[in-house]
Amino acid sequence: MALVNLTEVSKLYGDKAAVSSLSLKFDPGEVLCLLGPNGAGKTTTLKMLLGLEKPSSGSVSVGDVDVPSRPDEARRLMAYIPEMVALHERFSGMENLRYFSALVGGSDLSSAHLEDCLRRSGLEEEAWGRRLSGYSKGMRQKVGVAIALAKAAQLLVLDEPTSGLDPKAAFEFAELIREVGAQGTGVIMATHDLFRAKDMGDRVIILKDGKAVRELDPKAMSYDEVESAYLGIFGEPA
Amino acid sequence: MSAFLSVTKRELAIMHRSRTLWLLIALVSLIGIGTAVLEHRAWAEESAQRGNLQQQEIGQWLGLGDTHFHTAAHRGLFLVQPIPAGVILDRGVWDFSGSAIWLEAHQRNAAQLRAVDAQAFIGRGLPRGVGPVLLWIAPLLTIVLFHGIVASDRRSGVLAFSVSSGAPPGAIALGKFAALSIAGLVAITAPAVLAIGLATSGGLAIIDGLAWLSALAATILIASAVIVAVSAASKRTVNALILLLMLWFVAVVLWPRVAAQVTQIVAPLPSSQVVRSEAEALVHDLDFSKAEERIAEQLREEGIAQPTPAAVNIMASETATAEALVPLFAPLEDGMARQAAWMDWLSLASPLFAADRYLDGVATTSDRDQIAFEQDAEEARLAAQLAMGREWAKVEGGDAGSPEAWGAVIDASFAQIEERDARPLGPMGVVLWLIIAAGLLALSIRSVRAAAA
Repeated sequence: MALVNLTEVSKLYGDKAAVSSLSLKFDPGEVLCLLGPNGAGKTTTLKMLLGLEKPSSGSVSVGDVDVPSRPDEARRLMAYIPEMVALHERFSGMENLRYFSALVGGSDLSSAHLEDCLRRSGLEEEAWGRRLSGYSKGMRQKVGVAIALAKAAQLLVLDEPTSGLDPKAAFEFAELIREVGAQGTGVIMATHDLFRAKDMGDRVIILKDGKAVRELDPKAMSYDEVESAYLGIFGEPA
Repeated sequence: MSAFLSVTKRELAIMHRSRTLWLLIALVSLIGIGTAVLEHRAWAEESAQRGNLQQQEIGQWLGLGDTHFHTAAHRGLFLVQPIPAGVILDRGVWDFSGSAIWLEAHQRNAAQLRAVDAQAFIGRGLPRGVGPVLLWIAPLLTIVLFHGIVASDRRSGVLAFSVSSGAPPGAIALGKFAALSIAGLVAITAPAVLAIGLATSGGLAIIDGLAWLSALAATILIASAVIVAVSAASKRTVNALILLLMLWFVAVVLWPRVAAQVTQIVAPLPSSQVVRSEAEALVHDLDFSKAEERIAEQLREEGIAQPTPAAVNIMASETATAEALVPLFAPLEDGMARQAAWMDWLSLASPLFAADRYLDGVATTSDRDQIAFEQDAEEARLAAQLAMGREWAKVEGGDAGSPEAWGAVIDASFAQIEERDARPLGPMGVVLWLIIAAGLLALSIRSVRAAAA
């Protein structure tokens, strides 16, 4: 069974279609990238997947859970890392990890397990006990990944995760996601960074005006070919 | 359940780290304990004063050297109502209620004619008593310190991240409500327990103290639910603060005054000047002759063959005056009861006002108690005069009585005033608002869920 299955999903705001007849599915361990400019429908698709928005039509499922009818249950299978991971500033990385794990039923997770999650996320040990107000964006992303690892999420949902990260941090994050994917967790990532999409994704779906217009196999393409495919849809810059 | 407990613990930890929890507890405790101590001292002083005054009254009367019933009856005596210890908790309408009965023959003393305006609950000033102070201060400080309990998480994105990470929105909303309620209840504990201790040591029944505490605690829960609901619905923390302060002002300051004005319009009462002049006109030229015949006949039937004429005169004048004033005062008392009923129903619009009116009656006096006191005081006064008259009717020139006998008259008079009218709404306002609070929490859960979208 596919881990994620979207079938003919549309989302209308008034008479404007943010997403139109979108169908996609992918399996555990696969990394799927949604690529497109602002307003293409990437974030709306992720919100429907997370159950934060109800589709106007179509079906959305994660595993065997129908997301629109059982959103809380569906979210327990997923971990969400937005562009800016919002955590409690007065608490440390470890305290935030403990809290957000407990929120989804992980209150009995041992300290050793939580430390292992932080270690696997790549966050330096000296930062674990530091207040979040001193964290960089990349460090917050790592705590977000640690939360996903702690709750043993089957699906990782990422929204512009590398936006604002320096090249080294972005590279480290990409490595981390590949590792997570290799362990069997499905990953869906919305991005407008086509190079990062080519780098991380097993499949890339290009969205335009809410529709899936093209699917790419980034492993079989060079960076130039991916770029040409993208610009072929959206046009050369003026 | 574990998510709910995690949120509750987390919120309390945030309150602890930001020192806001300790600030709330310190301020409420300081103000509440200070109020309890001051009110206890005021009660003790006033109790002593009333006791001294009563002794002076009796001593002065007995010290006149003339213990003839007739003269004694005309000189009069104030029977001063003991002040209940419950005023420490809540003064209610005590300051506006009758606090003495006046024994004087023929009921021609103008002090007997009640001032309607002064008795009304309308126009009450600042609250007194630990209860009203806590009802005002605790919610206000909680609003100032914790108005952002949900709104700030919404603004920072923590709320959206929590919900989209799988945290149940219900656990988040209810966890924040629980933490806020715990903070509020802890803050009022010290002053409330101290006040109850002081009041029960002064004679308040422990069951009344516990009822008072329960209603106060329920009001803290209601206030917490309102704060969470408004904070959850607000996009910005400053919006939540402004709206909550406005709600507090309306609930505590504005609405009671509006309700009083509405009550005076829908169930108006005449002014005290009108009442006095009408009453004075009624009693001015009363003819007691028919009443004298009736009383003399009644005394003969009781076995007093030759009742003392002056005693018959006193008793007849008391009875005739009371009968003449009934058509004037009965509608007044009905009117005051109607006003009390209107205020009861109008108070339901504000949880703090409804709680205050309930706490009034539990601790000391509500406006209904005040009406009952006036009615009972009249009856007690009349009964005491008739009892005095009966003793005197038996023996001309008889002794006015020993202090013990007068003590018995005093006790019997006030014993008739102990019974209070039922308060038909009772704690209904508090219960109603607890139900509304549950509804507000349900709305909070929706707001939290929507905040993540």
